[in-house]
Amino acid sequence: MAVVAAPIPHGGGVVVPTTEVTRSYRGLWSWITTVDHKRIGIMYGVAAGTFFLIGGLEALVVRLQLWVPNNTLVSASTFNAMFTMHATTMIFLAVMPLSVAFFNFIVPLQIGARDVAFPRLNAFSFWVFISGGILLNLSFVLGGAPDAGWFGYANLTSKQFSPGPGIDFWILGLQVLGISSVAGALNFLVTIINMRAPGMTYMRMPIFTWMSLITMILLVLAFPAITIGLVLLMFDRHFGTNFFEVAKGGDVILWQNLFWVFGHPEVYILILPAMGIVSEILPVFSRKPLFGYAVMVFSGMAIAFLAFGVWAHHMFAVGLGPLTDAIFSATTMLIAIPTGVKIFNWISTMWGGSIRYTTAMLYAVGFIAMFIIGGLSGVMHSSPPADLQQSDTYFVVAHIHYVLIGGSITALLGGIYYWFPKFSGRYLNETLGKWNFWTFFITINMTFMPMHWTGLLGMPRRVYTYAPELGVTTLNQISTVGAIGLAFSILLFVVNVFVSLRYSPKAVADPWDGATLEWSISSPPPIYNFAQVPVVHSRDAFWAMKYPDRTEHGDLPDGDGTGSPHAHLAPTGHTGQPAADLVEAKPTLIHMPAPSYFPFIVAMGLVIAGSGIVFTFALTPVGILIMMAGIFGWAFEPA
Amino acid sequence: MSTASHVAPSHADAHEAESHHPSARFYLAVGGILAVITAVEVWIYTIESMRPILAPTLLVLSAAKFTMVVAFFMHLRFDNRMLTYMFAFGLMIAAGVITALILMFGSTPLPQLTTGVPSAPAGH
Amino acid sequence: MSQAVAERTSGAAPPAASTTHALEAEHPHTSTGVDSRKMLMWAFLASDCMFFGTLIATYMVYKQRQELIPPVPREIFDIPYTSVSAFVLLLSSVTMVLALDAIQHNRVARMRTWLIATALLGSVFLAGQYYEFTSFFSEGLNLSTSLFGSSFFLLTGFHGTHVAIGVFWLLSLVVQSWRGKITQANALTIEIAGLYWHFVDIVWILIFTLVYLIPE
Ligand SMILES: [Cu+2]
Repeated sequence: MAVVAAPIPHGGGVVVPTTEVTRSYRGLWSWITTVDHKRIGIMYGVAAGTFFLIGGLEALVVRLQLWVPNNTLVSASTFNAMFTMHATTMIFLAVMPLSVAFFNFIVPLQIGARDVAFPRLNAFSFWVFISGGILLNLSFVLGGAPDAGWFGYANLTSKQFSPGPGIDFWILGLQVLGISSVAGALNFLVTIINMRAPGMTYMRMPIFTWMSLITMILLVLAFPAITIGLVLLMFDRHFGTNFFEVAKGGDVILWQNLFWVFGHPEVYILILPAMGIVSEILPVFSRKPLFGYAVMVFSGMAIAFLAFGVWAHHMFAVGLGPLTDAIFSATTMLIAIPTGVKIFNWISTMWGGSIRYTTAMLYAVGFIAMFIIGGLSGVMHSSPPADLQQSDTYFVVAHIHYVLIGGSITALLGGIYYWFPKFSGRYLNETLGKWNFWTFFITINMTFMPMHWTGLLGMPRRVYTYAPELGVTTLNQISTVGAIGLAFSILLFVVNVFVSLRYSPKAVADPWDGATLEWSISSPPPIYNFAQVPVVHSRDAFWAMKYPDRTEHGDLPDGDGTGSPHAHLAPTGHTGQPAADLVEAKPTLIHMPAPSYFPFIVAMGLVIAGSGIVFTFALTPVGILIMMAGIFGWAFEPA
Repeated sequence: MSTASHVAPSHADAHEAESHHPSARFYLAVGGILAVITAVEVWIYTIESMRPILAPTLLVLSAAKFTMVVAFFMHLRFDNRMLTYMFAFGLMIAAGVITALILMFGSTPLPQLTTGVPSAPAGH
Repeated sequence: MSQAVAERTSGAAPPAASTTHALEAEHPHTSTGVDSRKMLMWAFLASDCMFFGTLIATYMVYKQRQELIPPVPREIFDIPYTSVSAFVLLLSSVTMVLALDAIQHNRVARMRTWLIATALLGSVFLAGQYYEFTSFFSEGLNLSTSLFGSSFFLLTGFHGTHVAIGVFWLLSLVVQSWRGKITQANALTIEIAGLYWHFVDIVWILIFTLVYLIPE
């Protein structure tokens, strides 16, 4: 935490006189009690980054084991634990919380709010998330990590086939992370709908905020399905029910249904924030407004709706019958349309623009290319006969990694390069950044492109080794070399963060000539965000303020004339910045929510109560008591 | 684009809605109707000749009760539209998922269990 | 240019007062005019639809394939008894809405009476469910007897937990009203608790029909 503490000198206080920042809170306690959405966002980012490194190491073990046929580097059971924990970690502890970091830091700034609707609930979400992540990883030292794959198909997860505590850790971790996600999503749903600055109608909201809103809807409605699925599993394992006990008439396909009712919307939960980030970066570095904003919004809505009607395309290999297969095949092809439309919008946004290839822009363009590949192999799965060939092979592994690394992670890294000045008050180094991007771009293709062939040649996923006769040795070795290169690229990124925090020049308020309100305030923003709540008159609100003569959806005046776009190259020359004037007009007092330790206590109570499932159920009442004490303190604490 | 009417979206209609508070008598009347519908539900359950259309009739009646509680007791009828959209979307997705699951499992042949003692045909 | 920006920013609306509030609770003017806490509750209820939806789906799916292991639903359900429970919960919805009506007319004592009545009716429902569960156990239906047992107890138990949380919430509101914390001005506290309580009632409306009354 100390690393990121430096860039944010402001702390929480009940009343902040804006003329002077009185106390600057430091130290661990200030982070535990903070309710500031920016600090919570940074904590999410740091935690997610750490889990990303852990998940990456697990992937390296998998890749090294597959270096040669019949390898004995790790045992089959270790291999199972590695791929299970790799996927669970990357999805629930890296990509999702990294998106949440952006929601936290950026969304309130983009809608011109001083904080989220429920600041303490926000802190609660974070503490639940971090304890869920830690508990899940504790399984490595407390009796064995989960090893049934990230979708934990019944009845592999039954007491009979998984007697150890691994699956219980998995249930506990996912339940706890689910609570965190739903609490956070409810909070941001209300924040976006209810905390917009005056004049910011729905169709004037920044596109990242829009995609966040749709993500929240998906989170709120998708997570209950897996929560109930996990409850059924828990009851099967501990309380003698028969939901997935085949001998007693239970149906293992029910688990698959419940999991994928959650699982497919989850795919969009992982990719929509990334799409939102890219849709922010492309217009700014093309100096053109986003092409087809309304189409982007409505295709997002269509995705939110259709996402709940395609889940069984993950189950074509089950044999659901021709009618079911046909319906889910059709809906899957249908959902490709609103997704594909977005790609055309991004390309059209760049068309004819004056493009600046900063690292952030490179990542955004890289995202489009990678997402096209991942999207195309995805549509291939919508055809049941083709899917039957590809199911459970490395072809599917290639697809999901093009979508999640080539898509989500690429966009999230681009987002970090884009907003890092706002997060920290410093620029990420562009030279290191370009090295980072090109090594990343080359190595992800080197790692995952061969997997298409590996899969079509018949190598099943999740098997710890393969025979030399299969003829996939070379392909696997290319993938492994690529994975090592990818680790090197991520290392470059980490180095860049630490070097830049230390040595980079201080950032100006608006280094990229940004379109949205977060660029109208200093980098990093003051604790209260906006000294005066902005009034919005059009889409791309900050562009409208800076370029009053521009027609509402017209292009910007030429890039180099304004002085601000290249300000990061000469950070001292920061003149003519309209942002400064907005910050000047200060009210005398701003009421901010007070720090609170009750969210932390409630989160700890919840996690202790849940830990009953892996340790002893005696913990559960203890946890519930702590939780109730925390809730009462929370309810009666003066906000 | 920057006229004053655009600046403050939809504050007015919300405040207008606040003033619609039905009286206690109205609530009692709604409660009475709900009780009658429940009684009718239990009554037709006991009628043998209703058997063939029992399920659809009960579904319609309980949907009516559901709607009345949500619209009047929970004030959705008088409240901001956004709340209706939020709740209706969740309800719609949930109903769709339930229906789809029942149809999917109903369409596949069931494995017949023989572990238990066969029970007599359901009688009452 | 910067001058123009400042004017555009503050021109359309008067500048904010010297003290502005970041906290939703103290800031009545949200973008939609709806209080954020109320919106949070509605969003949560939308999510809860999916919770119960998944459980109901599980029950319905498994109900069709458990003809052979007794006791079967038709034999074990006591419809007259459960009808009384359904009436009790329905009545508690009426008392809840009357409590809201009372506080909206600033009648704290009357509100408290209705709240206590609602909590009592909720407790009666819970006691009824406890009795029903024990009698089912004695007839040989438990969590592991059959898929019907597993999914029935989980669905109704999950609902019962919701009721229990609601009763607890209502009682804490009663305590708060004794301490003079609940007034006409924050009738919203009662309204939000009411939303939750009515939702628990409508879930029972569905369970009563789908689980108890519709045969097979
Ligand atoms: Cu899918």
